[in-house]
Amino acid sequence: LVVAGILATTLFFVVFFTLKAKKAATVFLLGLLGFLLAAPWGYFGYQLFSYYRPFPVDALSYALFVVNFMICGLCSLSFPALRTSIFNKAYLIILCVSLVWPFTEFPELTVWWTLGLLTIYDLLAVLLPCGPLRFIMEREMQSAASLPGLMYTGQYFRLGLGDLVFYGVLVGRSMFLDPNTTISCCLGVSMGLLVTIIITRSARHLRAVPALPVSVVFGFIFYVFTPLTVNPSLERLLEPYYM
Amino acid sequence: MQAGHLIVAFGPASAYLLLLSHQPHVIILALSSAFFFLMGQVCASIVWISVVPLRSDTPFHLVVRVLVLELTRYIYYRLYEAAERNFTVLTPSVHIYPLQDLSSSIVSGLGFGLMHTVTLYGILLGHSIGDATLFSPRCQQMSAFTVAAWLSVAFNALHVLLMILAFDGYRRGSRLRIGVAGLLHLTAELLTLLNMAHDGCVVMIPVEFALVGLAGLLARIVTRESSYRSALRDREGLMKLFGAGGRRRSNAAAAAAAAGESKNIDGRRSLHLIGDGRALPLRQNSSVVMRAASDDKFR
Repeated sequence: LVVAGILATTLFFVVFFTLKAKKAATVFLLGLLGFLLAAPWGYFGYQLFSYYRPFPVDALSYALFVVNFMICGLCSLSFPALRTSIFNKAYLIILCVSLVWPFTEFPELTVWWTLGLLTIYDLLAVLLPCGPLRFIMEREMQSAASLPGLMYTGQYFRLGLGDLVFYGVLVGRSMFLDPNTTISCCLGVSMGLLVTIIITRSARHLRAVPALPVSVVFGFIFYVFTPLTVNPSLERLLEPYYM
Repeated sequence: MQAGHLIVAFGPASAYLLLLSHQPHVIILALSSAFFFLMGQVCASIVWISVVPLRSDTPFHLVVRVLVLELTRYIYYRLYEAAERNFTVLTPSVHIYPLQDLSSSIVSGLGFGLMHTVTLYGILLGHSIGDATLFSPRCQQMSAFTVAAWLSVAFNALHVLLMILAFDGYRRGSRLRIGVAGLLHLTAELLTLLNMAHDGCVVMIPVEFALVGLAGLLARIVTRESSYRSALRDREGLMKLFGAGGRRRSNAAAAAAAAGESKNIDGRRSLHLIGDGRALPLRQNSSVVMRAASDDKFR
């Protein structure tokens, strides 16, 4: 279901690009982004404040705060001058977090199937000549302006937000298991990103490289093997400390 | 108490890394070596778990762990070598920090040590949050957390020194040095078996630190040798070189290095690095020679 939804959104964007209906696409995207920035705060905020109670908050001022936050985020994401500012990066990360959060609520099998299928889809969609993502990337390279709010810019690379989301999903789910697993998955994903960057530099004839598969594979290896093998071995090794 | 343990265990490594973190290669190297350490741990535990009858045999476990980790060190070194070869191709900016053997190996060792601390001590640290403490019946003098914290400091330092020794050994291809590094690692791991003896922890910690001191002595001897690949004492010359930037100067420096007397450490590799056929004997800084090579590429 989720994969179908993501496929639909991608095709939607392709259609928009081909029709050059840029304004409509931008409006739609901004609306979506605004919603995404604000929604988890609204939805989970209620649970957060009613359960943890850090300080008293009333609904009206909280709503104003959230709306302010959202507008700030939209501004920082959509003005091209602010492309590499720290606000941009911070808000992109927050966006990605807000996309990750629902995934942690899904049952486990859904998450893993989604991740697996999306990885394969990413691999195919970017590398195959007829893939939609590759199409978008090439159009974007040709046209000077690009859609706001979808790409995270490092110095040599641009990382799509979906990639960040799925790394976040993997690491987020690993937190449920073990702190050891979490750190291992974090490192695995980061190293996968390094490998992806190396691949991007060394395969120059490809404009776009799928960032998802390598990191997901690394993270997944750690996710599976750390609780299975490393934790028992660490238990044995640390036994003399408490027995 | 938890804060004290935290500072003891993580302090030296994080302090050093934070001090050096403005240099770009430090963080990448540290993270990569930490990652390789984790991979090595995963492989070691896979090997250990698959040998079912010997599962409760701790010395076997430790030996397997040391073997696999040394193998991981070697694999990491090969990757580092490949990266060093491509380094100037990937970042064609003028003010790059040269990948020197000593600083790179220190930082990689810190990555190893940091991950060792995180995995072997982090769990205990997590358990130590709270009011109670934990004493093992075999070790009445110190709490289990204190023992583990000091041990992880020792292992941190040991990993750094072992990495220096190992890098030197891999450069020369000398099995003696690699073997010495591996043997030091093995001894250190087997000394932790002393922890299981009654009152063993009191003896174990000073002995571990003595081992670290021995490794430090060896590292000092190795790095002061005249045939060590890159020594810090050349740093001033290197900074002057890269501060000016420019093809003629670096070529001149390479020519100067060639003119100077030095042993040709690995003749095969020196030809490979230069790529235009000249056999420049690699003196102390391979990065100087690489600058010459890269300037030939980016005309």
